[in-house]
Amino acid sequence: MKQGKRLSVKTRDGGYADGEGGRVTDVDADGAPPLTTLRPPRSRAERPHRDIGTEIARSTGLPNRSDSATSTRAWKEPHVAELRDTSLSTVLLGRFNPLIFSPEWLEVNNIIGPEEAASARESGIEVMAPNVTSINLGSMKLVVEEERFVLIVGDEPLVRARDFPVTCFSLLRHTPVYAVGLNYNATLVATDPDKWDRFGDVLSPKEPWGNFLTGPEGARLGGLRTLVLEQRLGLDDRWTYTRLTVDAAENLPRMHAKVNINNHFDLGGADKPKSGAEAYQLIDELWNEAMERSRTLTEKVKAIADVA
Amino acid sequence: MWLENGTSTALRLSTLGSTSKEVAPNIGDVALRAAPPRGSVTLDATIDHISDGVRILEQVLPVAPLQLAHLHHLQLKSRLEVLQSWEGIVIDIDEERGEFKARLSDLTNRGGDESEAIFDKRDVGANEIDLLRVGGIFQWLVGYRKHSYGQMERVSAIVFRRLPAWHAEDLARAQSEGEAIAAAFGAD
Repeated sequence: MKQGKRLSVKTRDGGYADGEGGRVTDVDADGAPPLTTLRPPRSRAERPHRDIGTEIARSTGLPNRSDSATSTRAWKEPHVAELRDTSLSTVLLGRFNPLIFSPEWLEVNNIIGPEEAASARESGIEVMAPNVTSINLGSMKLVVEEERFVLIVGDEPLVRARDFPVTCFSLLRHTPVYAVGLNYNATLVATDPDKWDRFGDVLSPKEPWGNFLTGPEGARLGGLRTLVLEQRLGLDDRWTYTRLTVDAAENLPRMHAKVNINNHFDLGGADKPKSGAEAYQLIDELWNEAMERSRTLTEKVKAIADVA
Repeated sequence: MWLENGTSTALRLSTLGSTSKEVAPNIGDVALRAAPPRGSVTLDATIDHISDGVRILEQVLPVAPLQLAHLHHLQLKSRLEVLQSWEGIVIDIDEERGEFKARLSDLTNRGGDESEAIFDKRDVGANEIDLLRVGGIFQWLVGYRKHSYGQMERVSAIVFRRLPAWHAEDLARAQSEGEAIAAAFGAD
């Protein structure tokens, strides 16, 4: 066992990550754990990852510019797109009493900590009224209206977008809830204008639109603003659809697009709502799968941009 | 915005064209009305009387769509870019040495080996310290915290998860599910 202030953990790929303040051993059946050496990961690039770029290139027939085996330019432009500002949000539709969601109630029920509650009381409350409550909770934001509960989590640990509503509705077990949305959001940022245009062309080919988007001598007259795709897999009776939106909105800087994955679950419908208990069980059961699928889908959008 | 005087303290959100009931106004001193724009969301408010005769504006909060959208906007001063993260469960606390021992599973490379680590209790913030007990679940995050003003720092953070307590109904449901599975396998 390694003693001291430094702390390291061996990762599956043989690398090491570290932190301060402890000592670590690998768990070993014979009770004689090996010592580990410290070497933190230098960047995201060191992590093992699926080569989605190659998968996309295979399925679209486009050259994979991120693969050095297929492109001599790979060293110049391995990844031109980047995903930033990942946030998660959990939305419930039902019949709510916004005034319940006070910092005091959240603290007493162990949904937020004492420091978070004190900060929320001091400067976090934007509105608290019978029909709408809006509270800033550090890297989270809670907005509750009479028919909508929204929790946005903008920073790690993002799993709070699961734990917060699960704890709330394990307490509000009899509150009518008729739909749940588990949302994954990120901003796709590119650096190469030509690739950005090609990315738009891959998502939405311009040829069928004739001279609506293409002028004389092939000049671009416009392009894709928003793409919405919907998947209905029927994995679970409650899992109504997964909706992917890529939105290069006008208010975003050039070569920026919002990527949103909305996993929507119906719970009986507005006229026959189910209960808070069923909503929290749903989130508890399906959260991991919904987020894993959303993460993969978002990475796929980035990979399409990379190989375009 | 609809502003009426009356005795009700009701404050409600209504959308033009919705079926929400309108508070019947009392005839009185204050009557300010402006028809809300089509499709807008307004907060109706009334003025209340208190015993000493002073009129108190209970709450007048016109919430236009853009303002409502603003409520859904989260402004962050910094973000953590995680390089490596683990989920840990506290298995022992040594009060004398001010340390706790945890079993870790890697969240970055799922399916990897489990590890055990000993942490200094001082690594747990004041907001989380109440959750430091055997069985407590936390995330250990190592990465770069990027501030909005451009500064970046390498951080190691321990954040305990706030999970719901088990309810009798949940336990009963789990037991009945377990019994059903056991029955399917023909267990006694």
